[in-house]
Amino acid sequence: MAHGPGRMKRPALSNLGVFLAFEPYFRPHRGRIARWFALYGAYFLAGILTPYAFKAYIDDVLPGPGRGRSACAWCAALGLRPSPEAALGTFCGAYLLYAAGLQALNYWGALGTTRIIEDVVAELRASLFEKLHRLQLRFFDRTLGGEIVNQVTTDTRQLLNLLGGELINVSLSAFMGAVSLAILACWNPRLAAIVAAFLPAYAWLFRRFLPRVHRAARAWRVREDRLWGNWGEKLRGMAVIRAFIRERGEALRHYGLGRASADSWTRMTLEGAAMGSWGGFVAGLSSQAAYAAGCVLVYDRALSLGELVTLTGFITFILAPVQGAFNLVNTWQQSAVSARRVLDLLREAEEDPERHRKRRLTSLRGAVAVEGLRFSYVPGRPVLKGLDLSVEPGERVALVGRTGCGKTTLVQLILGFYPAESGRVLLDGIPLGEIDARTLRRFIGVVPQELTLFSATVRANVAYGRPDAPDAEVWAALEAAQIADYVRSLPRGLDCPLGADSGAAPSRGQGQRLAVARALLIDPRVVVLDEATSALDSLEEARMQRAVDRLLEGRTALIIAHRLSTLRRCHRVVVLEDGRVAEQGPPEDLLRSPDGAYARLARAHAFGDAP
Amino acid sequence: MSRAARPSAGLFRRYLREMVLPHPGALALLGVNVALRAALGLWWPYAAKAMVDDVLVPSLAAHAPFAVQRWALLAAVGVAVLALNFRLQWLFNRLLTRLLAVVAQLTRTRLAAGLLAQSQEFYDASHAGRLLAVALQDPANLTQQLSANIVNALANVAVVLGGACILLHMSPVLALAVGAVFPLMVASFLALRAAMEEQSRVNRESWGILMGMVAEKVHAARVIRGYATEDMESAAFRARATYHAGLNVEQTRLRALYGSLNGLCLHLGYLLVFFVGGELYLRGRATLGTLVAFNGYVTSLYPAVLQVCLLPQLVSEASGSLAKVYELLDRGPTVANRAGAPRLAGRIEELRFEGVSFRYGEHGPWALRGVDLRLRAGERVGVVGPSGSGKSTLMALLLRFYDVGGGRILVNGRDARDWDLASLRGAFGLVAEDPLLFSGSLRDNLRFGRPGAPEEGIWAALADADLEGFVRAQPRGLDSPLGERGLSLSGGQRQRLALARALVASPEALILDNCTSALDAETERRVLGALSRRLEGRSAFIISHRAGAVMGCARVAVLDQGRVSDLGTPAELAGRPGYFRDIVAAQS
Repeated sequence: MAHGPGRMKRPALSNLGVFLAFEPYFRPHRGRIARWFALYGAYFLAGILTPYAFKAYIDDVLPGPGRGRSACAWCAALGLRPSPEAALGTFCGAYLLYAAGLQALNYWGALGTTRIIEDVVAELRASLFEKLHRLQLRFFDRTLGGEIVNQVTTDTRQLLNLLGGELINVSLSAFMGAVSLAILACWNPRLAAIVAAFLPAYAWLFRRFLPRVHRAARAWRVREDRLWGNWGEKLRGMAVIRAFIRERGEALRHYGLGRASADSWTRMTLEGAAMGSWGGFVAGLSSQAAYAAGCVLVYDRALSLGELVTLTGFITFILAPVQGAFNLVNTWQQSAVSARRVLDLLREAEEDPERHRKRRLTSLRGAVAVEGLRFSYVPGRPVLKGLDLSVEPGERVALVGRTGCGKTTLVQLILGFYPAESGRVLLDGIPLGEIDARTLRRFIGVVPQELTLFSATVRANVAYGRPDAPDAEVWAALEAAQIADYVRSLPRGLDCPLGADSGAAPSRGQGQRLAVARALLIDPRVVVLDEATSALDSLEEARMQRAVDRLLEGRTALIIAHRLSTLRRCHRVVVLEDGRVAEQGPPEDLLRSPDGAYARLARAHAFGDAP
Repeated sequence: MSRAARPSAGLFRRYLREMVLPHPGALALLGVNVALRAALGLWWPYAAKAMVDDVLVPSLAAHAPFAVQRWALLAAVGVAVLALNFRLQWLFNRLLTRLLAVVAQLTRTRLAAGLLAQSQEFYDASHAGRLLAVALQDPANLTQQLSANIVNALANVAVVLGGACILLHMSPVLALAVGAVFPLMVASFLALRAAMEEQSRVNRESWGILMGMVAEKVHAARVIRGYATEDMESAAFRARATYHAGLNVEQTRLRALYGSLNGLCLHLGYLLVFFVGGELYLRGRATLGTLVAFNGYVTSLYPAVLQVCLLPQLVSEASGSLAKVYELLDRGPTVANRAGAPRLAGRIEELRFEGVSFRYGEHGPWALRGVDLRLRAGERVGVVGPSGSGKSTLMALLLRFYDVGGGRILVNGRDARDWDLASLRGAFGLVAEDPLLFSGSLRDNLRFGRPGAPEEGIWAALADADLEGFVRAQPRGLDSPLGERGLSLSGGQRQRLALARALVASPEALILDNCTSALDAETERRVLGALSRRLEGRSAFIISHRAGAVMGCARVAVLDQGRVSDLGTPAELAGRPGYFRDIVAAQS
C-alpha cells in the first residue's frame, strides 16, 4: 500500500545515487568531517606500523639470520653499537608508546564518527517527522501507520549503520590497503604482483553474488514491512480481535507473515555468507601463494626474513577492504532499500509546498464560501459534485445529510486537508489556494469525527492548540464543554495523565467533550464540529449546546450533526444530497415544506425519538 | 527497576534454554563443525614455525640447498587446510542461518501469542508503537546480534583455544606470558560492564519512546493539522531525536573505551612476545620460528579475539531486548482462562449482573458501583445514561475485557469467570461505537468474526446494515480494499460495516454499543428496523443515548454514575419523572 501510483513515476536511482541524495544532510558538518577524516586516517596509517614493527624486530633488533641491511647501517653511521638486550628494551618501550597512541586515536576516531553520524541521523529523523506533517493527508489514507513508524525510526537507523560504520571503514581500509601494497612493491615487486593477481577473483565473486543478495534483501524488506504493517493496526484493534475471538487466526496470520520474512532473511543471509566464505578462501589462497613464493625469495636473498614473516600482516591489510566490501554488501543492500524508502518519504508530494510564499492570515472574520466544489477520493467516483455554499461571519450552519453524502469531506476541504479537483473555497473572500493553510487553521477550531486524545495529561490534551493558556481559561473551556466536573474528579485534576493505568479512562462521550474544550480554547473565529457530540445523550448535548452557544456568539460555526435538537439551534440548515446542496434555509422554514429533505429527516427523528 | 541482581546472564541462559537448546541436532552439528575448524586452526602456528625453523633458517645459515620437499609439503597442506576450512565454514553458515531464522520466528510467534493473550488493561496502559518494538524489533535485534556476533564469537573462542594449545606446546613460558593479557581484558570488561548495561537500558527505553512518539503522532495527523501545531510537534520530536542521538554518542563512548582497552591489551600481547620472546631467544631458549608463530597467532587471531571481547557486551545488550521480551512473555493475562472451564455452548438462558463494581486502575474513580441487572433469553434490554455513566464498561466486563472489581456476572447461572473465555466471547457479538476496521478487502473485514461465512450471509448482513447498495456500487464489490482503519469510508459507513461484521458472525447475543451514533436519522431508522427484525427472539443489550433506539426493548436500565438509577419498560420510564423522560422530552 505504501507504493501508490504517485511513487512509481520517478526514474529509478542507482543505489549510489540514493545514498548521494543524502549528501545535503552531511554538508553542514563538512569541517568536522574533514578534521575527523584526518584523525581516523592517521589511525589507519599508524596501524600499518604493527606488522612493520615485527619486521624491524626480526631484522634489526634480534641477532641471527634475520639481521637486515638497513638498521645496522644506521646504527653504524650514528656510531652506536647497542647490545641486543638494550636494543630489545628500547624497541619494547617504543612499541608501548606506539600502542597507547594508536588506541587513543582509535578512541577519538570512533567517537568522532558517532558524533557526526548521530547528528545527521537526528536531523534526518526530525526532517522526516516534519515532512510527515506537510504531506497530503491522502498519504495517511493509503499507508499503514506501522510502515511510517518503521521508516522514520528503523530505516534511518539502518542508514546509520551503513554510513556510521562500514562505509567509512571500508574506504579508509582501502587507503590502508593501497599503502600496504605499495610497501610490498618496494620490497619486492614480484611478491606484490602475486598478491594483486588474486584481486580479479573478487571482482568475479561480486558480479556473481551481488544481484542475488540484492534481490533477497529487497524481498526481505517488503515482507518485513507487511509484518509490521499488520501488527501496527492489529495492536490498535486488539479489542475487536478479542470480541470476535480471532486470537488464533491472528496468531496464524502473524506466523505466516513472519515465516515469509524469515525465509527471505535466510536466503539473503546465506547468499551473503556464501560470498563471504568464498572471499575468505581466496584471501587464504593468495596469502599462501605469496608466502610460498616469499620463502624462495628469502633463499635468493631478494627478501629479508623479517619482511617474509610480516607478509601475512600486510596481505591482511591489502585484502581488508575487499573483505570489508564483502561484509558491506549485506549492509549496503539492506541500507539501500532503507535509504530508498526514506528518500521516497522525503520526496512524497506535499500538501502545500509553496506555503511560505502564500498569504499569512493575521485575522479572520469568518466568512466561508464554497464555489462549484468537486472532489473525489477515488478517481471517477466524485464525492462532491459542484457544491456551492456561502456562510456569513458569525453564522451557525448545520450540515446534514445521509452518511457518506460528503459532509465530512466538505469541512476537510474547507480546512485545506485535501485539494479540490475544481471549484474553490474562499475565506473572507480570499481563495484558500492563496493562503498559507497553517495560518488559517489557527483561526479554526475543529473537532474531528475521529476522537484523538494523546497519552499526556488532561492539560496537555485540552491546551493542545495553546500550550501556554492560563489555567483559568482551560477551566472555562472545560466548563463550557461540560466536562469540568469529570476532570475535577480525577486524582490529579488537570495534571492527571490520560490512560487506564492512572485511572483516567475517559469514555467516548467524555473524550468528545475534552476535544470540544480543546477546540474552544484556541479562541477560534470558525468552529467546525464534526459529530462532536454523537456520544452524548440529548440532555448532555442540550446542556453543552447552551454553554457552547454562548461561546459561539459572533463566531462562524459549521456543525455536522444528526440530532434535531442540535439542528434547531442553528441559524441555517444545509442539506447535502449526492454531493450537492439539496436544500437550505432556517430550520423552521424548511419544516414548512413537507416534501423537503429536512422535513423527511425530522420525521425520521420523530420515529426515533418519540416514545 | 532494581539492577542489583544483574539479570543479563540469567536472561541469556534462559533464552538459550528455551529458544535455542530445543534444537539439539543442529547444535551438535554446529559444535562438531566448530571443533573441526578449531583443530584445523592448530595448523597455522605450526606451519609458520616449521617454515622458519626447518626450511629457511637452515637454508640461510649453511648455504645449503633449498628444502624444496618440505617447502612444497607445507604449501600443499596449507591449501588443503584452506579448502577444508572453507567447506566447513560454508556448512556452518547454512546451519547457523537456518537455526537463527527458526529461533527468531519462534520468538516472534511466542511474543505474538503473548501479546494476543494480554488483557485489555495491558493495551490501555501501553503504547502501540512500543509494543511494535517489542513484538518485532527486539526479536529481530536478537537474531542479528546472535547471528552476526554471539555464535560466531563462540566459534572463535574454540579457534583461539585450539591455537593456544599448540603455542603452549611450543613454549609454555611464552604462551603463559601472552595469556597474561586475558585477565586484563576480563578486568576491563568487569570495570565497564555495569555502565554499559545501564547505558544500553537507557538507550532502549529512549528508543521505545521515540517510536511511540512517531506512532502516536502519525495517527493524530488530522488533529495536528487542524490545530496547526506542526511546528510545536516537530520541535518536540527534534528535541527527543537529539536527546536520543546524545545517548547513542554516550553508548559509543563506552564501547570505544572498551574497544580501545581491548586493543591495548592485544598490543600488550605483541609486546610480551617481543620482550619475553626476545629474552628467551637471546638466551637460546626459543627459536626464531617460535617467535614468528606467536606473532602470527596474535595477528591472525586479532579479529577473533576482538569478537570474543565484544561477546559479553553483546550479551548484555541483547539482554535489554530479552528483558522486554520476557517481561511480556511472563506477564500472565490478568484475565485468565480458568483451567478446565467448560465451554459455553448453545443458548444464553440468562445473564445476571450481581452487585458489579469496577474501576480502571488502582486509584481511579469507580466506574461501576454495585450494578444489578438481568437479561433473559430472547430479551432485549436497553441501557441508557449520560456519557461516562459506565454503559460501555458494563459491556466490557461482560465480555471479560476486564474482570469485575466486585460482585459477579452470572451467565446461565455460572460465574462468567468459570466459563471458557473464548466460548464466552464467542457467544456475544459486540458492535462498539468506535468501528475499528482493518486494511484488507471488505470481504475480509466482514468475515473477520467467521472466516468461512457464506456469501449469502454476508449480503444479508449488509442489507440489514443498509450497506448493500453501497457495496454493490463499488467496482470491485466485496473485494474492494480498505485503507488502514477504513479511512476511505465515512464514519457512518464504517459503523454500519462494523455492524454487518457482527451480524455475519451471527452470535448468540448482540451487544450494540451506541453503534448507530454516526448515522443520520433516516438511515438509523432503517437500520434499527432491520435489526429489530433480525433480533426477534434473540438476546441483546442495546446501549444508546437516544431514547428512540431502546424503545423496542423489553426493559431499559438507566445508569447514572455507575449505578442503576432506574429500571423498567420504556413506557414506564417515559411515564415517570427521571432521566429517561428528560431525554425523550429533549428530543421531541
